[in-house]
Amino acid sequence: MTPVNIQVFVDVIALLSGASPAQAVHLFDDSSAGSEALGTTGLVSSVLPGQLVRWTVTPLDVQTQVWIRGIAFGAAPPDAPPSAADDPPVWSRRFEGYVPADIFPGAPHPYRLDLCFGAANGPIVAVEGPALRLVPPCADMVAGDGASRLL
Amino acid sequence: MQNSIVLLVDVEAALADSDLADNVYLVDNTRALGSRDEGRATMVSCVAGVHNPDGSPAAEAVLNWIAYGISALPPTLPRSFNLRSHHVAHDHALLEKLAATTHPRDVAALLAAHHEEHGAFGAQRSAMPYLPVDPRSATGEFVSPDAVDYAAHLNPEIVAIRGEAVEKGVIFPALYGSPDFYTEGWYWSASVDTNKVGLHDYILDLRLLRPTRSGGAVTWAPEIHPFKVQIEVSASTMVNGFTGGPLPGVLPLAPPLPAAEGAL
Amino acid sequence: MSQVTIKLMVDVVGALESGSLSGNLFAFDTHRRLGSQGIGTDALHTAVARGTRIMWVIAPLECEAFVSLEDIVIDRAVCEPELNSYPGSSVTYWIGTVKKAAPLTSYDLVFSLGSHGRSMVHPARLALISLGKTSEKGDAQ
Repeated sequence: MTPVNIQVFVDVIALLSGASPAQAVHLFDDSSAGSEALGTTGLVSSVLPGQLVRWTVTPLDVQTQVWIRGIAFGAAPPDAPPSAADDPPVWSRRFEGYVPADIFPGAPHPYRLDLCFGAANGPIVAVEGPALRLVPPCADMVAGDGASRLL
Repeated sequence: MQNSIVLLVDVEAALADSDLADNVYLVDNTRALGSRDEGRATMVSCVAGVHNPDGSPAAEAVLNWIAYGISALPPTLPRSFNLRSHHVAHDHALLEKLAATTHPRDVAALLAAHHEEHGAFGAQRSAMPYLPVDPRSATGEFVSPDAVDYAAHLNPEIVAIRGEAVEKGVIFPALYGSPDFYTEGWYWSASVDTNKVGLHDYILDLRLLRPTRSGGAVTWAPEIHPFKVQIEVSASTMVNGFTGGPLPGVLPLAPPLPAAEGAL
Repeated sequence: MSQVTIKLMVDVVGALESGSLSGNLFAFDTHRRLGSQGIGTDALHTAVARGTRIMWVIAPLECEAFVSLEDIVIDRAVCEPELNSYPGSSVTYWIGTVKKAAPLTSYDLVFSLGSHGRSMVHPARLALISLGKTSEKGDAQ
């Protein structure tokens, strides 16, 4: 089973200039089982039980720095503390994991992405809205969404 | 990760001293990663390599260089875009006048007048190959190529990157073409072998142009000045953001335990 | 007439992230040999004399990042900088002539940064100092 790649594109300068995550963060995936709201922070990625899901972040200005500091599933309170310590450094964290095989398909599992930037004690921007949706095994065989296949 | 390394050169002082020492200042964009001596000639750029647990590279490391004269036009001004046709326009005007002329004496007079005002026909590009097509002062005024004080307004140019870090295969520099008008279409870039951890030297060869007047004519002689720079390569091992270990685990989807949130 | 160029290199991303230009501005000039101090820092002191023509130019650390110098707040008895733009472009520079020598005249820089033109002031860290009063050995740093 091929992994699902979720690409997070960030307009760092816009985000730091006051744009909302919805305006400056764009999520895409290459799920073969279909996706909703590609290009937005409301991306819903269809994933299969046991499938590997991998998140990567790319700054739109290639020389600016942005990293995923943490990913939290479930409804996190808005004042939740930053999700991870500073060790290991943020640039050496890889966010990937397997979809559990023992939960029911259907309902989306929302998650929050915490983004951080160049400075050690700089701001952390929480991106709310994206979700994983579990689909039954073999759902990718019947998905008719050709556009998301191309991505 | 991409390191942007900017060199600021006091061209006038460097020409006067015949030396880049004390006349070059460096800035980069990786202070947060540990780069030090920002704004000084001794700046050390930190390159943060990331490896997979098996030692293979997990992320690219790229260096980009650009050199500016302190008195030069600002880099954001796309001068070649608007101004490149300056001399071509003069040459076209001359050709039109010549085409409308039949008497050899008039042709000679036209050529002499053009030479007086703009230099020899076509000579702008052939006699001074290193100069921009349309030299401008820092205030944007057109400067005659005969003006020796224009030297301070020219950007230095990186013509080679060499030295220990190149010989030992730490960095692999090359001059790349760019569609960006700001850099006149070229920039230096290198990928870094982040397995070569430690402090490494390399040498930037900067070309300055020295104008010398002899017998009424000005010659712009290129001078290559070497300048030593350092990078410090560090490496860390990729860690899974969810498990805190080298390998991925099952995503902490449900139940949404508080303890599982943002696990590391 | 002597001329000095002050080049202001701004780490736009760093400034937006920290909300301050402190440590995110690198100021350079061409008067090191005449006694300018703090070249390459956010506290440049430029050695000038009466009649020196000063030009302030902006350079973002990243060409893609927007920054402009909106104002220079300085004692107008010493210098009255004027805003100009390059012919055929919206790129600007400031230019002014030193009207009288003063031992130390600090000035504020007002910048506009980033996609939404966030205004940011760098207060009284840069200064003009008197060219005659400084040591020829003036340390570049």
